[in-house]
Amino acid sequence: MIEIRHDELIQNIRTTAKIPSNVLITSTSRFQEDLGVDSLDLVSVLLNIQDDFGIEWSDEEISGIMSISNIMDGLHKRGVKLLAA
Amino acid sequence: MRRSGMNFRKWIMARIVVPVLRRFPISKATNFVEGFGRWEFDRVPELRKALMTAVNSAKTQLGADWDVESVTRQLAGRLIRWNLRDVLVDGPSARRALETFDIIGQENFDAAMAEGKGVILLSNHFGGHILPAHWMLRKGINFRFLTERPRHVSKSLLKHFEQTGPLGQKELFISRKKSGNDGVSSIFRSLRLLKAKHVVLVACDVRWNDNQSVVGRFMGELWKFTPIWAILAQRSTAPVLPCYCSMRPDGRHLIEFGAVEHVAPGQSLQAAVQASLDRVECKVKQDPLNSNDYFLWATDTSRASLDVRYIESESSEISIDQAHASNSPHFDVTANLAERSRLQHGRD
Repeated sequence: MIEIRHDELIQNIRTTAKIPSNVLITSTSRFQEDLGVDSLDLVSVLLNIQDDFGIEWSDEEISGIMSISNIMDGLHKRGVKLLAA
Repeated sequence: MRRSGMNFRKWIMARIVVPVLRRFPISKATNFVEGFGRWEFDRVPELRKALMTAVNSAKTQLGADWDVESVTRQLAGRLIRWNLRDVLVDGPSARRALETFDIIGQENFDAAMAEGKGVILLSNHFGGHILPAHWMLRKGINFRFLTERPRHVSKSLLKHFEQTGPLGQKELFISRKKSGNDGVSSIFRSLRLLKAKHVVLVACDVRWNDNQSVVGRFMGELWKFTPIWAILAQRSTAPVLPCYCSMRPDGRHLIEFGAVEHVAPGQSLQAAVQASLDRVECKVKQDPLNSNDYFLWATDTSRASLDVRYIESESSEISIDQAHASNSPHFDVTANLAERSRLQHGRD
């Protein structure tokens, strides 16, 4: 089973989407409204996760990804274990 | 000229005249259509005045040496032919359709395909812009449009549009009305298509207003354009193949495939878009008879057109956006906002 620390995942997303360090990211943070992530940055985030975990997002999933928790759900569904920091 | 009037003429031609015309050789049918356009030009003062104003304006903007009266009259004929898209070449015979095409740069097309990463066919609205798709359809080449759904096209293309599934055309069309993650989905689907070695046809001159748009100068004015093709090229590393299709006399078409290009990761999207626009503008200057769509941009006062114009006062947004853009030099439209002033000053 693939494992990743929760804070490591958040940091990866922060780096890829260029979210400033003073912006708090929580599981419920919404990409556009709370984090100011535009669709191109979201593409980068999703592609990087695909590459890192060897997964492929489905069209339905992509349409529904609005927040960090949606990504976590997607990873969880594929057996990726998120560890507490 | 008002587009509603053009659309009515298009409807009449498509529903009444074209079914009859398709019984004739393509050259005769095309000559009839163009002749009708010139006849209309000679007899409808409003149309003549509107078209001549548009052509004259473009001539001034481009510093061209066209004979406005002569160009406009011939353009009036081409305008109707352009509106008929690929309808006149449609029919059961692939040979009949393919015989109307002359190809320049087939070796570029082959080289792009040989890379094995799919091909981003960089189209535009110059000349018979739907015809390369019809050519690929008849050649059995796997291709998809990453565009808004073209209207008034042939039955063959309509059938192609109905293909569903993960690699189908139907779900790939983009729309100004869609929202949410539709843009993200389109990019993902296109990446999959490229991975499957398909040709993805996308236009470089699509005026679009969203948070990804970049500002480009075209025909002397600043507009907002989508950089989606450049994003795809960066992400997929697929070759970009510029393509132009001009309508020639006697129902013939000339497809030109330019040299294969790549958009490197980190390369400015705005610069890539501007370079593609510059090439199209060059074509317009050389061949005004295939440039009808562009001539109408300046005089189009519809809401959709105003929405994609870049207004100088928008530069006030730059300072706000730049604060957030400082961390995203290449993959964020806000960074491109910073390039606007450079673009303007560089050209003025």
